[in-house]
Amino acid sequence: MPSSPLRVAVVCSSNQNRSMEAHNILSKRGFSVRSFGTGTHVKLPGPAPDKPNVYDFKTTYDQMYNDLLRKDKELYTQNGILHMLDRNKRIKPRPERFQNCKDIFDLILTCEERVYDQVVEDLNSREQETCQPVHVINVDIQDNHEEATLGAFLICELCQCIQHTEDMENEIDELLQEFEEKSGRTFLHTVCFY
Amino acid sequence: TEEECGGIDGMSTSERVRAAGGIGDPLAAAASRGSGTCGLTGIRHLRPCRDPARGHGVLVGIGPRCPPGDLARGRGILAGIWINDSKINILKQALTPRAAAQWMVKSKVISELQEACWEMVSAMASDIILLLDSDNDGIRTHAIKFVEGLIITLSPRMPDSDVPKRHENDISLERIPKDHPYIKYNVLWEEGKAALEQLLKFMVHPAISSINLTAALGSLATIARQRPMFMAEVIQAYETLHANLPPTLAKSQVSSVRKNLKLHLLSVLRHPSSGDFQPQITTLLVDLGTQQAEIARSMPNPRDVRKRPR
Repeated sequence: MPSSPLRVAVVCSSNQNRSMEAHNILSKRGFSVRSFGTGTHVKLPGPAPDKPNVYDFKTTYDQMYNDLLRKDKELYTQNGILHMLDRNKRIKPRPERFQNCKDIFDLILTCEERVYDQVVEDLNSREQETCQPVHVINVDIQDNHEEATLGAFLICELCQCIQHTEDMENEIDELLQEFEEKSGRTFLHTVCFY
Repeated sequence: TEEECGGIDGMSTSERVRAAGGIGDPLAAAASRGSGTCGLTGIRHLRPCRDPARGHGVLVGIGPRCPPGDLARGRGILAGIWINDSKINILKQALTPRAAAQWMVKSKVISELQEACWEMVSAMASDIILLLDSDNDGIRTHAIKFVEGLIITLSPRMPDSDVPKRHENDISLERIPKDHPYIKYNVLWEEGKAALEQLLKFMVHPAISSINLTAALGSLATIARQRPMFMAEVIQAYETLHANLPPTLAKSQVSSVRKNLKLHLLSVLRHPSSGDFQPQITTLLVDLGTQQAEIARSMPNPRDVRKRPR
């Protein structure tokens, strides 16, 4: 097992539900983890499917919480959004956009194919500096509370398996194949370079 | 002997890279490892030399006759060649050929030490190319990136070359005078082409791993954009791969590779010199499920388009 912990990033669209659920679990299990969204804005469900609550990435979870509390306490309590924002603000102050982060990771996990595409495109558009590799893996997770919880456990198990390899870069291909068989899911996987 | 190198055996590839501080200025790397003795320790592990005493002797034997600046430079270059058995820190070595070439070009008279350093750096580069055949998937991935850098250095930058800002001042073949007293332009150019041949040959191996294939596809796109004279070879390699995906790839790996191929084809298509290859690129992109609108968006701006002589 490598002596230093893996530097992990978990990325979804708005850095609210799927990536934050995984951030929470991975952080409790001792991983060096950060979470991000790739969208241009942060979107939360609103009173109707065509009326989402839209914020920019500068808005804190606390501000969103208070905004929704003021708008419709019952609705946002009942659909779990206030509970989610309350959890999020205990983890970090505000959502973060992946494209604005220049930190280096060993492993980036994305929660849907579109997000994977955006992450890979962003990494490939950057000027290469160190040629250090970063593995990007997509685990499809539907954007609801239950699937986010299940997905976060799957991501955590995957990270633990990768963390326990003797030589991640030599074993990751095979490990992912085994994990696909075990979980019955398929993963997109690529390597990019910083 | 591993203890002398800090006991890095048993680490993962990325850890070995991190332990050595990634790639950077070889001089700074040498300094960070303390006195010149560390450089000498490194030379003892030099595979290209095979006879450790020879590497050891370069600084000990020639060093005292060199001006201090030369000695420091030589030590820096040789410290970049730091190989621990077969598990090598390839990333760190990626800048070494460039640093060595820079040194050679700047000097009007080539010293014995420079000759010796150059010889070792060349031998090291040949050795790393051989690591494309390593048993370790991670080492092969790093070797691909090394070969990518080597091809860029050993080929001339052209007016239509993409030049990343960070690499604007990097040396490449066109800055090597044709009458240089020691290094020969034509020989290096042939070596650059041969390195590309090696990479292309590596890519058509029927049992290539998904991750190596991904790394190689990206390297080829970088080569096509920075050295458009190789665009024909790159597009040909993409076509061959698309028609003959390795049978060893699992279904999800096929999806990942196809997605990757699409991304890199679009990036090559955006290059102002893609003109002659647009029919092939477009056909491949359509086969990979790309929407016409997306292809149209990636066509180079007509104002920037440059016709290349064929």
